[in-house]
Amino acid sequence: MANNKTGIAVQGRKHWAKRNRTGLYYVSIWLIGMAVFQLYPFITSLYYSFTDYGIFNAPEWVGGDNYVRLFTLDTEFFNSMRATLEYTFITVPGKVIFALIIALILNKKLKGVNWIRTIYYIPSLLSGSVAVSILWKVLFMDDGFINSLLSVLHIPTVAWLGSPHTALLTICLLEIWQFGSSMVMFLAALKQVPTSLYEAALIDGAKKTTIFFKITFPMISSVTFFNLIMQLIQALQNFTSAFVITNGGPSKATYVLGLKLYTDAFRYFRMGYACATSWIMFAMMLVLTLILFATSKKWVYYDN
Amino acid sequence: MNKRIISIVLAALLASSMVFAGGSSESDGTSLRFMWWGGDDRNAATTEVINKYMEENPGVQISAEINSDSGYIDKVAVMLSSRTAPDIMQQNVDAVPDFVSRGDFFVDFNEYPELFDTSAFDPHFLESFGTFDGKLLAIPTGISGLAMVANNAAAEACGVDLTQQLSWDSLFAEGVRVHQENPDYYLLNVDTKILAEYVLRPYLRQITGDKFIVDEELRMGFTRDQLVEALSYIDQCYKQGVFQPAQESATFKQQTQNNPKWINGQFVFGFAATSNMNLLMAAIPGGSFTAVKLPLAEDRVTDAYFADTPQYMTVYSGSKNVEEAIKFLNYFYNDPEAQLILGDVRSVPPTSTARQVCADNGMLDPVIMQAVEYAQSMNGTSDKGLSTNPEVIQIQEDAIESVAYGTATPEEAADKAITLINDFLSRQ
Repeated sequence: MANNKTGIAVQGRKHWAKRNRTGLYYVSIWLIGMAVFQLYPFITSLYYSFTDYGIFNAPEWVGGDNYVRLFTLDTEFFNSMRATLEYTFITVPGKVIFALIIALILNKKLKGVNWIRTIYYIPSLLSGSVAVSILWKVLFMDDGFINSLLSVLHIPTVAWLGSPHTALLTICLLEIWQFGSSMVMFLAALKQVPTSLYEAALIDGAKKTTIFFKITFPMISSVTFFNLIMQLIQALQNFTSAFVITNGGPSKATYVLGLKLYTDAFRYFRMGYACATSWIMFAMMLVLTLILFATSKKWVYYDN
Repeated sequence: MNKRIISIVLAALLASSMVFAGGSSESDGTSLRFMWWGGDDRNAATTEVINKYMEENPGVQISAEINSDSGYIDKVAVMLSSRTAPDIMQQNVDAVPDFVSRGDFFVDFNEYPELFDTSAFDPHFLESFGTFDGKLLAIPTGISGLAMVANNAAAEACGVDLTQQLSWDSLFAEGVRVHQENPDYYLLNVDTKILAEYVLRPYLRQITGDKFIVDEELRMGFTRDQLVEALSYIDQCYKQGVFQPAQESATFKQQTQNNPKWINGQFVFGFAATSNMNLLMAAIPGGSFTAVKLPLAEDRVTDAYFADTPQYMTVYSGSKNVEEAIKFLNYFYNDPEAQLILGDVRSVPPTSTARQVCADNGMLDPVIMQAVEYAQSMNGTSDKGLSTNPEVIQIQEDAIESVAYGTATPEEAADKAITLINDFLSRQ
């Protein structure tokens, strides 16, 4: 009996080992790609951040000089950090709130709601592309569509991209406009909220705002949390819009860390220095994400 | 077992498709890659010359890699460092000294006298532009210089005399007058990049006689007070309406020809290299233009402005077909048919034979020719090198932007620029 049991166990292990091997073969391409194109650069960039490495010369160990220089000598670093954080703190809440409002509207039983959902999702399909950045530039140029519209309405025009005070906000608007993905997730979450909760609240005479804050928001808080994390990481890595629309200007108002990193690496050929910047970006993301996780215990509700 | 075999085969197929996705190698003949940037005219002419050469040399296949000016230097840098550069590359004049200092990337044309004929080039021009430590590593594509072009209609409307030699002071006074008398008009169509190249560096060099950075001594070629003076000049030009407010012109950086005020004839002068002047002129269909002399300080040490080349052509030292690449460039520069096709798409041609071909066929714009003559009459020498290093140019532009937008006084901007330049020099 015991032998029989052992035999079955051995056979089971063999079966699972074989299944695992087959599975591994299937995912091996992805694993190799991940190791070569993500893991290897990730690890080597940490090493390079402690070296003086131009793309034309071999890396030379300089210890923490790059980090010291960033925090003590590089006047652009803090400006870039400020621009990145401003961009993040405007776009992340802006996009999430906007996506939630639209999702709440589209969750109602409206005529042709599926078409409306599709139309609202379209900007997200263009997410991060150069083409949509160029479109934004043309829209907000001094003589662009938006200013032409303001002129027709006899409203004073705005130097959207020309003024250091408005350029960053204009770029933020592009990011907020691409709210489709977050909206779809909110819609899915809203569909999951049991209608019995709303019915009970209505019977108790609850107001709409009370229903939203006491039922809807807690029930979709896990999706809100997920959206916040994803948008936060995406915002901190912003590059394309700042590069294509304003190229960091005017007067460095949109010179976000992603753009500084690119400039140091590919225009000034200071790869080691750029790697140090990228690790600081990584640390920023880590800290902000951990803070969000720490606060999540107080406001995120998991149904299960 | 079957699953295992299928999975292994699929994995191998996928892996091989990734590895060989770059395309198959040429089995016959010689294959070359030629990369450049340019507008429609240049692209069409260059492509036509490539096709003619391939017709005459059936064993040669040349693939054109046409790019935008934007990000071109970055792309070349990455290609050179990763040893994936095309065989033939058009090069930015400011970038080549930097590339040459960082490695042995380019072929010395002097080693191939039987393949590349330099007899139609002015030897002094080749010596000044393209020769590095006695090696002819880059061939100039034309003769050009910085130029100032006037829109005749705007000049007439504002009463600006186009025959006078402007000084910095008279330029300023004229600009203030024009804007006061015609608030919709500005004297100069500029951006911060133009101001660094056409105003800041020449202004300082005319005072000091030195380049912005003296490469040999690794020092700045000016004092703090001199930099403050130059930045104050720019500051006042913005404040007094000589230049259009930076907020309004910002979106036309590096494309001043698209500024609606230029198109509507509300700027008197535009700045451009002679190789790009046609863009400014083409933006005003039916307009008439005059090349005018660039501003010179009355008590200058040097004119600071100079004639140079708009681009270079180089052959990559890692090319497997160096000789064929040089043969093609010889055709590109010296063949009469190629010269006729190319005309002045890269400014006034650098060879006497091509200039003759262009003159015989009436292909050279008289305004551009006049601008080139003015540039050649200036006694300045090229400031290529550390003064035009991308990092240093960025420092110059940032200083100008900070006074243009009023985020810093000229003194503060100068102090910051000097700190950054000293930091840059300490790393050289």
